[in-house]
Amino acid sequence: MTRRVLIAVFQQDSDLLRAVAAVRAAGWKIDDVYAPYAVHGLDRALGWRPSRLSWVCAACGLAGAAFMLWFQQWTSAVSWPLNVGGKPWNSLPAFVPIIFEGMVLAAGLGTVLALFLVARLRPGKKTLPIVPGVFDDRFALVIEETDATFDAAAVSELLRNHHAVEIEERVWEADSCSTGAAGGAAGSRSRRRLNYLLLLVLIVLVAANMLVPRNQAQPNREFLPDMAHSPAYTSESANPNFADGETLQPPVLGTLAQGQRRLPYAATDADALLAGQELHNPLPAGQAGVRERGAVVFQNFCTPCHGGGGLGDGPVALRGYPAPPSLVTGNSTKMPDGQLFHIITYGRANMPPQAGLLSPEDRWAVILHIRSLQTPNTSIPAGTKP
Amino acid sequence: MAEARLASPPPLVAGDKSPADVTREICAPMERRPSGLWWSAFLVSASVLALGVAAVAYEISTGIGTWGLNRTVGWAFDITNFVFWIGIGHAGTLISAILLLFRQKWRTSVNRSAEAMTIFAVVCAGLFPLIHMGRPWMAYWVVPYPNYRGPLWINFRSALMWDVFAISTYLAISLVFWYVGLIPDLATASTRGKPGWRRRLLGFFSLGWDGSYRTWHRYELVYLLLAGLATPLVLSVHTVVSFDFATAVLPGWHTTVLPPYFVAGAIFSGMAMVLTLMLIARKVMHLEDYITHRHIDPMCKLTLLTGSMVGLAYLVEFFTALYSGNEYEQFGASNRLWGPYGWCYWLMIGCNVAAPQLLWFRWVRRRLPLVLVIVILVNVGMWFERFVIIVVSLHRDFLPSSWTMYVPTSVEIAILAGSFGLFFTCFLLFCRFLPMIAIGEVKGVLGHGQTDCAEVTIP
Ligand code: HEC
Repeated sequence: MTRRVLIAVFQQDSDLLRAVAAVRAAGWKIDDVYAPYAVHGLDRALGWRPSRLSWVCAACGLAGAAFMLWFQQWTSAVSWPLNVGGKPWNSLPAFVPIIFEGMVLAAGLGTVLALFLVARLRPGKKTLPIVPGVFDDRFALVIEETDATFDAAAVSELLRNHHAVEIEERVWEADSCSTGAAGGAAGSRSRRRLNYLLLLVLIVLVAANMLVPRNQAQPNREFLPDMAHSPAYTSESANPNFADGETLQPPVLGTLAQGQRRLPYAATDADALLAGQELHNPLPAGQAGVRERGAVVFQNFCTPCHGGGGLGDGPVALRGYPAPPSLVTGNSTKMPDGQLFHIITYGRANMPPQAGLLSPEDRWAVILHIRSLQTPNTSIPAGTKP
Repeated sequence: MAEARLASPPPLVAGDKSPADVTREICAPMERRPSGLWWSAFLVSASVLALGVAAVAYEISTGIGTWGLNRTVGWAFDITNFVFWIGIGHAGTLISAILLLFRQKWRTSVNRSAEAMTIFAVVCAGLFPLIHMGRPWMAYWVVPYPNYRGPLWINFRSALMWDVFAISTYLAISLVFWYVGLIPDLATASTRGKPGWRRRLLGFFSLGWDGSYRTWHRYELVYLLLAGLATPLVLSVHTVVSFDFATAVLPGWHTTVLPPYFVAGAIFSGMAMVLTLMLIARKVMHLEDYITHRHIDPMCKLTLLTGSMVGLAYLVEFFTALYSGNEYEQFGASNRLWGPYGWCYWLMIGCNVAAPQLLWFRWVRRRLPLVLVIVILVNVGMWFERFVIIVVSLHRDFLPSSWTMYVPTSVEIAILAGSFGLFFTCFLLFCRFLPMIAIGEVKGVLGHGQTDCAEVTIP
């Protein structure tokens, strides 16, 4: 559909205002006015109703405030109720500032977006001024030629009386208004070119990803390691602060960790016998889980040499390591728990000491497991002679 | 009639300009090559900015230990600068929004640059808490988003969290306000000058503005609505900033006068900064006809008003300390005056309370170099005010064994200088590439002060 319009150009805003009033009084239909600034009083002269964007503003503001109210209560009282200084979960007064900010933000952004939407403003939109100078010091009054009875001559006469400097008739396509198709073709061409370029970049990246072999040995590059590397000395690194130049220092002789008991023995057979006389297994054999723990410890630390059943046929022994005696039938069936504890702790001949690997509890627990392999499967308390 | 003409004030824009003159003269700095003065100013501020960037890079790669902070004074230059810049950012919205609501027509010549100044100041301010974090790439942790830590949400009961929301909302709304105001002028500028990337870019951001009155009609309403929203917002922002201090129990921070005191101080420092920039820009950019005594004079009066409010707030603080009967409060107050940082306090009083009193005299307000000196003093004084509030309150708290002094390191001073570099670099680029006076709005007030010929009777 095409529309015929009459465009009159004015130089003074006062002329424009009077012309608008006269045109309306004569009953002709004003399509639009184009102006370089918001002419004071023009909307009253045109008789346009106030825009409804203020309702959009109110709705967005209310929505923003309601959302922030709900969100703060939900996060602080429902999703993760965290006690902050004994304040109640629902600290409404403390939520007020953010409710307010949410309201202002939503109302402001919402209204402006709504303006862009209804006024069809968008980035990159191409516009030609309807008449030259309309962005500078000219005003254009657009009158729609509604039907055949429209008397262009009479209208022009009236406008000229109001100091219109130029009057022109134009035919407009449907709703194109002043938005010329000027940028259309050029725009789509450059867009297509951009698309090809991006496609090319994608192909090159994919090809490079497939063709360039990945070096698995190289560690990944670090970006902002976030304190992953401590400037402190690691236990193995050299350290100039100690006389021996090592970071890891042996504890002072005779130091005991908290909860640890003193073992006043040397790694000798005599002391092993002594330990057999003095030490008691602190773990009650009937306690739930203790024997199971013992089995796990045995499985992990002893089977390589002693074999799963304690017969001295572990894989290490089968490959030529001096085979340990059977724990099921050998001397150990007659040794008191304390003596086994000494052997496990300090080692004996080819049996390496386990103190560094196992806690005292685990050592006692594994003894219970050894006993369950033996017949009779009972602990041998201290004071029993082998 | 003749008497009426004599009594009416001189026009807002001098030189009897037509709308076409306005377009041409305001767009001129964007179209001609920048002057030598502009280049030298730009080079100086860009180098200071580079210094600041280097200092920040060094600080981030090495750690916050490069600053002079200690266990007692955990906030010093960083937060001082933050509050200082945020305060400066308040004048733009005051001029654009509050004065719009009060129908002060003189705002039209200064609002655009004041808004730009606001945005740059808020950006400068926002950088300080960010670099104060030490690991700024974790800054997104201040945003409430669903996460795999629980989801563990941010603590909405914390004043610092309110700050995050207030500052980011303020930045967003100021940007939108500024941009919406720019759209018609971008359209105007994009039809002028040599064709090329500059015009294409201006055209892209003018959103296809065609001057249709259907759009103007809605636009005016939206602009008014934004002003209505920005007015309580601008008052809330510095209130929330003051909560950072007022909700703590430290003597010197823990008072109810802090929010109004901060807001007055913010507008005071902002007006001083706008005046500083305008007095320089009108000379450098040759805008003497657009920024006249009709603009400078009310701004001076606003500076005087808010400066006196700030002076009153200082008095109220002392009264509170005295009247509270609390020995810690009283010690805090006397430590401000006579403590080791006493000189900062007296400098602040001299610059913020005494100097602006000269603006009572019309003779002074007419002497622009004198005004420039006064407002620069105010800028200095307002920086020291924040330093006094933060460092002087912190350095001697309840526990005398932890009393200590704070001395800034060169890194901190370089970062402060760098923020000024950033501010002025942005402002100079703005003067060069965007219309620094609202063309459309100035055209609307050209007739103001003469006969109101636009009045017509509507049938
Ligand atoms: C490196 C192989 C090895 C491992 C591991 C090992 N043992 Fe032994 N164990 C031996 C050898 C070899 C002997 C015989 C020592 C000797 O000849 O005096 C022995 C001896 C013993 C004896 C004394 C047996 C006797 O009849 O005299 C006991 C008890 C014992 N080991 C328990 C354990 C326990 C419990 C573990 C696991 C915590 C363990 N061993 C782990 C190699 C090992």
